[in-house]
Amino acid sequence: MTTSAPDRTATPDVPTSQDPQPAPELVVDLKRVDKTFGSKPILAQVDLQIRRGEFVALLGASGSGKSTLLRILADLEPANGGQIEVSARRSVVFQDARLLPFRRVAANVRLGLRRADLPDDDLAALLAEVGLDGYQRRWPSTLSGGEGQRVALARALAREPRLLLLDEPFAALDALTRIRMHDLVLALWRQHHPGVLFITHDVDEAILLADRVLVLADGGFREDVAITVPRESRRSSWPEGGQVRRQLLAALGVQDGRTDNPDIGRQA
Amino acid sequence: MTVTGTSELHRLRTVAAVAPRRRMFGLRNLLRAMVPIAAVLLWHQVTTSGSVSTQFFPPPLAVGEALVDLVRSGELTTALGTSLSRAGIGLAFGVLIGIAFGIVNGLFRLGEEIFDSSLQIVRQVPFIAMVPLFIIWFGIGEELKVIIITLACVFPVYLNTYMGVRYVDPNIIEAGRVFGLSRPGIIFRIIVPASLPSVLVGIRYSMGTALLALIIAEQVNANSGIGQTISVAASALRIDIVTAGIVVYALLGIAVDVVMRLLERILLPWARKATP
Repeated sequence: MTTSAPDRTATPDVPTSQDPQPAPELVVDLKRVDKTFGSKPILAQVDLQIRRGEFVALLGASGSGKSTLLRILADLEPANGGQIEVSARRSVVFQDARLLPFRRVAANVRLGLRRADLPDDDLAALLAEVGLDGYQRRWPSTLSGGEGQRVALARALAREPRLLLLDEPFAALDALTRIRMHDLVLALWRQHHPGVLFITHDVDEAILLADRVLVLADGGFREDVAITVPRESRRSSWPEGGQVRRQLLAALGVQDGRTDNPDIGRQA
Repeated sequence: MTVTGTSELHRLRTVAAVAPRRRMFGLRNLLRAMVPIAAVLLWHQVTTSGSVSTQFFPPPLAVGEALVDLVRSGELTTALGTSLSRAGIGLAFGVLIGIAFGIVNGLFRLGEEIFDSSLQIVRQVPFIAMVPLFIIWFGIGEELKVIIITLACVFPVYLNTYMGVRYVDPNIIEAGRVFGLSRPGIIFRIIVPASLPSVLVGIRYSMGTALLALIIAEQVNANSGIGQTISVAASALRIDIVTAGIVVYALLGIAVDVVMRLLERILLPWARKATP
């Protein structure tokens, strides 16, 4: 186990020119990362690489350390050891919108930016993109939960991130709003093409959205499943879908071998 | 709508949707005014029936007349100006000191360790108890009055500012960190505005206390101000003027409330639950 302090350097966002079809640059590169709370190990020797444009879902039970991993990537918490390289251009959407109640929507989206970084026209376009056309002057207290999360998404995208960290962003929303937000996140991801780390405890959500699903348990990744089926066909008929679900649920410690009913194990 | 004979259904009452009207003479305001109006009528009835001596209990009309006389002679305007500037200066000092300590102690553990317990000790001493000591130290001039009012005003603002700063939602501070705000940026663009509602609550309390301290300060010794008007009238047994002075204090209390509502409206537009 490494005891040295983790070095945290931002990966340079320079594309390699000699390769005609270069692999997208890494936006996350973790090597042997450790994290303990007191004497309790949360992450043990974790390696993780995410490239720009990749959509990675991270599943885990409560207390499995998935949020801790995200907080390390967001530089909100230090790791205890290992090597951490994360794109400097990253942003986060939390489970709650975390808007400043005393700033209007426009100022909230511009948080940490200068006005020149996001001129009024771009701001208007961005709000329209998340479905909040004309919301610039609204106060956060007048927004619904879903609208608040849309503002949080706009704020995250305003800085054109190479890495977008989503910490159970839809867990507090109702089921219908959730479905709309899934479509929105996918549309925004296709448009802006950041690397995404999407944390959730919902297996179906993970299967629906991600290229790759990781299951975090006992301080490490117990599963790492690539999902190559096009997203359009994942909602309904997809022969291997049930198998993937069972595999992921088993890694989460839920036995779901006898049924393909998608409602069982949802809250695992 | 027909209801079939054996149905378990009950028809429930419906109410037409009506936007609340806010009229000066609306039912709501009339209801609220009922008790005060009744009290004044009773006061009038008792004092004019001859069952109590008007020497000790003047009828409301006499108080009104005394009030009009005070305004006409210019005495009230002068007294009010003097009293309000005393209260205003004391309040301003008190609020500034309270906010400064509240922010420093709320933000920095070191500040809290050094100052908070001492401030809590001083807070436990009722400021009225300090008056005799202050007379010996500062005499009976204007300084004494301003110091008493300042001392009285510091603590409500300090306590509320401190709490406001200390209990800013850590989640929005974290959001500020994620989106690249510096430490000063977090303090001035998140913590300070987020604690403004508590600061205003503190100022509201302080304004009330300032009025109280003003009355006490002006009772001690004053050659001007509303307190002096009252004590002169009291020694001449002019109960009507004394009562008129009390009415003025009450009106000041109401004015404080109006001012604070206005301030909150201007400074906290976001706290109003405006539904579009």
